[in-house]
Amino acid sequence: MYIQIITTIVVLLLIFRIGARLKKKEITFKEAIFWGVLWFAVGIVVLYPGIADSVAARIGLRTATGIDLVVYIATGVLFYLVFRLFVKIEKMERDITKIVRRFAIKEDDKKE
Amino acid sequence: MKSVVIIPAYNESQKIYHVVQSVVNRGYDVVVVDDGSGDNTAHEARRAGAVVLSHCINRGYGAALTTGNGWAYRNNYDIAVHFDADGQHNPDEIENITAPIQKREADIVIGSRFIESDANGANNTRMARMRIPIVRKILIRLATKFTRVVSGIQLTDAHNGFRALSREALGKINCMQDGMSYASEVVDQIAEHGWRYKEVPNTIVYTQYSRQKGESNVKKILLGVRFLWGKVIK
Repeated sequence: MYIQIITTIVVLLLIFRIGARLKKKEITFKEAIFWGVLWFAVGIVVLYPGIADSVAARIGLRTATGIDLVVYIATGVLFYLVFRLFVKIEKMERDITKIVRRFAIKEDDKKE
Repeated sequence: MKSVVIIPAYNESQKIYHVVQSVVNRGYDVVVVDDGSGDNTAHEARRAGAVVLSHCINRGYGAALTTGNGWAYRNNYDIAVHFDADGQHNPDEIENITAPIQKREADIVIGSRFIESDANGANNTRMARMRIPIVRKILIRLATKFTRVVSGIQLTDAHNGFRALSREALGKINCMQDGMSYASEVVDQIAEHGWRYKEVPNTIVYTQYSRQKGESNVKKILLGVRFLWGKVIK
């Protein structure tokens, strides 16, 4: 029971934070929807664990319970997010290199 | 044809003066790309007669070479030679590596430690004489096979840092890899642009210094993964 109360409070706080960050334009509308739906789903599963069980049964996970399904989805989402982070870091690295290069060439032009 | 030798350097103040001087003495223009060194590399290179381009932070071997390539192209050089800063390469061989481009036989020329430099049989290849550490020898062979599979280019030595590019290649080369996996990407570019390529024998001098400066064998293996990842992102 306690876990449900604590998780619900945390989820509500996180959803409020998403709203606040969207208001400050720190995240895009699409990102806010993504995170909002994700945390809302977490809240629903915590409050009504039976839903996860019935979804698991419906998609054919015979031996798994609802909580297993949640773990599978969470792992998938994590993989996806890590991949996106890697891609973003790679692009940022390339941008940094471009800036460093431009700066080096500019310094050389100044000397001439 | 106007040639320039591009030397990427990171904390090479001990060797860079002599390396640059040995190239300048043979009549070549030299541009050293100081890749965010914390020592006197830039000063020593300038003292030896090189033009120095300075990266304000360290970006890696490939990034430094790309900076040098761009500079060479903008300054209307016909041939750019990539040359190591740690004294591993022999300045007398610059002439051999630029020759196929001067004769218009190739757009890019890559040095090879594996092809025979003379006709005295297999035991007299440069590879045999250079005494390359055995683990490194196996890794070079594997890297060569890897490049052959990924890029479809038949080279005998895929990870040789001694290469020459024609002006046409300089204008088209589009390498994104900042680190040592640049070497694999260059081979990939040969396939992408359909350049005429040639290998010439070259000698690599393995010294205590160059071994200390070089990357570990584990890092060399990870380069393949790094290269493939870069290809996915491209």
